[in-house]
Amino acid sequence: MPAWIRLLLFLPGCLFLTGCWDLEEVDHRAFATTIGIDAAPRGRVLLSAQIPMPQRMLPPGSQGGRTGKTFNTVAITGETVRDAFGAMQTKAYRWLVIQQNKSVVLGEAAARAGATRYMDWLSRSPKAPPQALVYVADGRTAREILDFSPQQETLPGLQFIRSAETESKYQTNHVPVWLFRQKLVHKSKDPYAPLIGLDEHQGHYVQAGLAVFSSDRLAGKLGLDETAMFSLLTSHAHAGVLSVALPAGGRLTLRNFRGTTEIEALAVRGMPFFVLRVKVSGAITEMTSGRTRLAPRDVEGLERAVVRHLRPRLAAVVRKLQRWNADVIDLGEQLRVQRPALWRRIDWRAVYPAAGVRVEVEAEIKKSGVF
Amino acid sequence: MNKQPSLLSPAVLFALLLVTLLGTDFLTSPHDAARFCGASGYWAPPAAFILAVPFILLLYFFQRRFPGDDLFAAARASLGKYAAAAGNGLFLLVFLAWLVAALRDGGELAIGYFFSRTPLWAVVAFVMLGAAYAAVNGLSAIGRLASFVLLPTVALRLGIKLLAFDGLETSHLLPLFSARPLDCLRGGLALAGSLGPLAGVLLFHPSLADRERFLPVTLSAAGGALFIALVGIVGTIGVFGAEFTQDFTWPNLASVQRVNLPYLAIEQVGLLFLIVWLTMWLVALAFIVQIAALGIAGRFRPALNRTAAAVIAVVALIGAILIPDAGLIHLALATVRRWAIVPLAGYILLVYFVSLVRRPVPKRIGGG
Repeated sequence: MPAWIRLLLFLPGCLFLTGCWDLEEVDHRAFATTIGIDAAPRGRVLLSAQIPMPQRMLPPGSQGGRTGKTFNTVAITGETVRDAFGAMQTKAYRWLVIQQNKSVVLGEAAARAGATRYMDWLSRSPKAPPQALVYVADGRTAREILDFSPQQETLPGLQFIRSAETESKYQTNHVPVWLFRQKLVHKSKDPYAPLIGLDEHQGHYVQAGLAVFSSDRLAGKLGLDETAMFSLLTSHAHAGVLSVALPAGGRLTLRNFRGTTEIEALAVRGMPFFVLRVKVSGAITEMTSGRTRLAPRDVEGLERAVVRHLRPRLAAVVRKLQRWNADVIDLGEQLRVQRPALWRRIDWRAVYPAAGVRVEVEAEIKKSGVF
Repeated sequence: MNKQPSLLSPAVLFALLLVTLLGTDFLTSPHDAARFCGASGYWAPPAAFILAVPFILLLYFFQRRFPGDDLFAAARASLGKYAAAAGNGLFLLVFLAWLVAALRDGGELAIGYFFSRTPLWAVVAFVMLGAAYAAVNGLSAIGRLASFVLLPTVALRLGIKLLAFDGLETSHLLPLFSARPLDCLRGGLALAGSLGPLAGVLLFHPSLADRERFLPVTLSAAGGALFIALVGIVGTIGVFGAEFTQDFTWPNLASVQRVNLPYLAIEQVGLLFLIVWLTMWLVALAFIVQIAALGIAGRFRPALNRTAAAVIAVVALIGAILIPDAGLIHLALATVRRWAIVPLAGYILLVYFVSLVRRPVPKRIGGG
């Protein structure tokens, strides 16, 4: 066959390069940046999606720029999350795209009812980004969170992400969809997610602590201080700040406060026992006494104060988690690895609340002077 | 008129085999490894390599014994006309089953991630058109294509898999010896099955330029494919854990898809990874079509070979479209991938041993 005939046969194929069945023009799409999921009456699901309005994000006065809310929230109920999403597709005049979704907010009532049914589609669909971060609305519905207009003129969904990308945040423990699901699937783990709330007076979002799940149900909420302890127990504290009351009066504040925890799983009389060795370090950034020249003995005294401050708080958080039967610090995972025979023999969920735990803390003050 | 086909160099053979093995592994090796070996699924690839050595040695000794005859000609000489026809037919049928299942499964993957509204027939038809175009141009054309894509695809695939180590938890990979030796063996067998396409070499080994290097080339291709499988297994089980890994249809892809690279141009490397894999898949399909065509037409009838390749492509296309259920086809592909090596190796072994017993006079040709 002559080459020019081959070329002629080949060229019509180029017509298909722009897409055919799956052609989606950008201006016909609506990009959901945050998805909210709530429990609705009669076992239904209320799905909300936050859709940015690009023309409102341009500065007023610029070509095409308009003032007003920078996003639009659409909400609809359905039998399931997927069902509601399908209904939302028919309601929107544009093609609703979830490939760019950045976060998922789960209403507190939905989290208490059991997260599996609400998260299944998002962790199963190839179109839903597994990197999207999971949040639980603190005492509110997800729709309220999505409807809220923060005073800072950014998209709320993007604001969550920026917060997550600021790793120096001490009390944040961000969980993407895939990790939430992973913890849900593993018998040796339980999931958790940051709590997000609203400060309506000041007009911004607030991080309200940590939502802790037992299996797939919200079992309890850790406050901000407790979440800080949780971060130490899970080695997620990287560059935080710790303020400690000193026995002689006044307060000590450490910067670059970080910690790692080693978990040793033991078998004591045929039952699991855990030793949690928490090593923390930080540099002095403030002493209300104003003292600057510290001898090694003084530094040791401050380190002891840090240990005295942390140990009961850490132990209290562990006890609380055991009471909720929520293994979010992966004690079960360590038992599976370190004592596989014992792990196979016991029913971890039944044993965990009564498992023995000892918390040991070692503190190191790395810099004691003044810059 | 018979025409001497052009000879394949060891480098081209290596590229052809490695790209084919990587294109037919279907990103499922972590699933098999986790299923049989649990957290220590990384023992499955070394076990698979050990199990693959006898198979590769069988191929090596076969091509040494029959330097001028391909498998089908050797079977006719050893087993007789009718038994060979049945055996050769079975051999081809296994490759055809592999082709149909691979085409459909890859089509489902492409639809799931790229073209949710495009009908299946359009996706598989376009892919098969590309694969058939390469196949009708002969083994040398597929070899050149494989050589062309080898470095970028392997480098990208390996690089992306290493990126997917982000978020790895070492506890997911422990205890080091959590699997029993028998489980490691089963995991190894499951992975070794994916080396089945190597058997296709016996349909064109007389066309190899340097058959002295047959053994190192095939061993390296198998080793390379299993090494990349090992990297995928460590990354996937390390990130997801053994239990969660088994929830995925394509766990290798899932572990890459969750990688997040903020501030970079490509936020989701999953799509790039999929494009790389689909390239390998296309080459693998072309290779299998060509193997089946060689089986039907032989090496010396290029016109018939082209027709056979086109017919096989159409048959595979119809087969892939007619199979009704995507879940069923994934299961079927998993079965073919794990077990197809048994009839393939069994038939080669049978021909080899019968030839030893009956001692037919093998043809000798130069160049080997």
